[in-house]
Amino acid sequence: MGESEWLAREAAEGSSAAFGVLVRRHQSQLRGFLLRMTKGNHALADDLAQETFLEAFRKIAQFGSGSFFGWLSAIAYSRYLMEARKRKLEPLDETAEIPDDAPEAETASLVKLDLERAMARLAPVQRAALTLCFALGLSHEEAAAALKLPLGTLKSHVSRGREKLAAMLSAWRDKVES
Amino acid sequence: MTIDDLLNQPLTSVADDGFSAHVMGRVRAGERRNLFAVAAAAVLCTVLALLFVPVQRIGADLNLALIQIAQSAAVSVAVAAVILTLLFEREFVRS
Repeated sequence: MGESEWLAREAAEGSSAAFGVLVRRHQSQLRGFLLRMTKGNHALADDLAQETFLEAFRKIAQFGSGSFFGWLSAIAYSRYLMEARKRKLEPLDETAEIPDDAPEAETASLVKLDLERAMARLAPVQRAALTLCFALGLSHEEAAAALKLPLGTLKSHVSRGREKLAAMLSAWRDKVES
Repeated sequence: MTIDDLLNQPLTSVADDGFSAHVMGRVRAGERRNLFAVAAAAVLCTVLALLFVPVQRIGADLNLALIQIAQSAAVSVAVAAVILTLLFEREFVRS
């Protein structure tokens, strides 16, 4: 059992100090994840992160085995989906048309910025799957549990999202070079 | 740089800037609210119970029971035995 999982057990037994350590330890990752999900909307990402931690505290007794951050991501993703539906932030359907907002030539060389822009054009479920599996290092099983998807579906979202990203980045690079 | 290298880059670190303290403040406020709600519910239940329970009759019955106990020879013998044991223990065992 990892240190976060042990702290979660302590928190489940009533230690709010242990939960405080978990908040400090995971706030950056969680806010980073939600920042990517909300396409860089800091205020909304922070609101969602706060609500995620508060819900996690209320439900901490339900935390079972597995990664604490995976469990936290599941709450965060479900909160994000609720908010996206309520505010109509973006189409949640994977097949929905996404407007073409390719970067300007002068900024396209900034690889990190390219990635964020390309990520913003993916369907939310693919953005979440790629972020959890790559940047946040969750296993496919953990990410599938967090997104409440069957393992095969998660793998297919990862694969399709990765292909779309590669195609977008390559097209943008061609546009810059031409 | 391959697409996998790009994807494997960690997310940009987000500075805490009081975020954790704010979350924990809300957690503690929630705990206080819950505690208050439980205490208020207990008081309310007690008050409601007292409205419907015949307290005076219960008190009278208790008084009667205490008097009957005090008048019982068996209880008197038992109480005397306990008192004598305590006195004996204080006089001889502790010294």
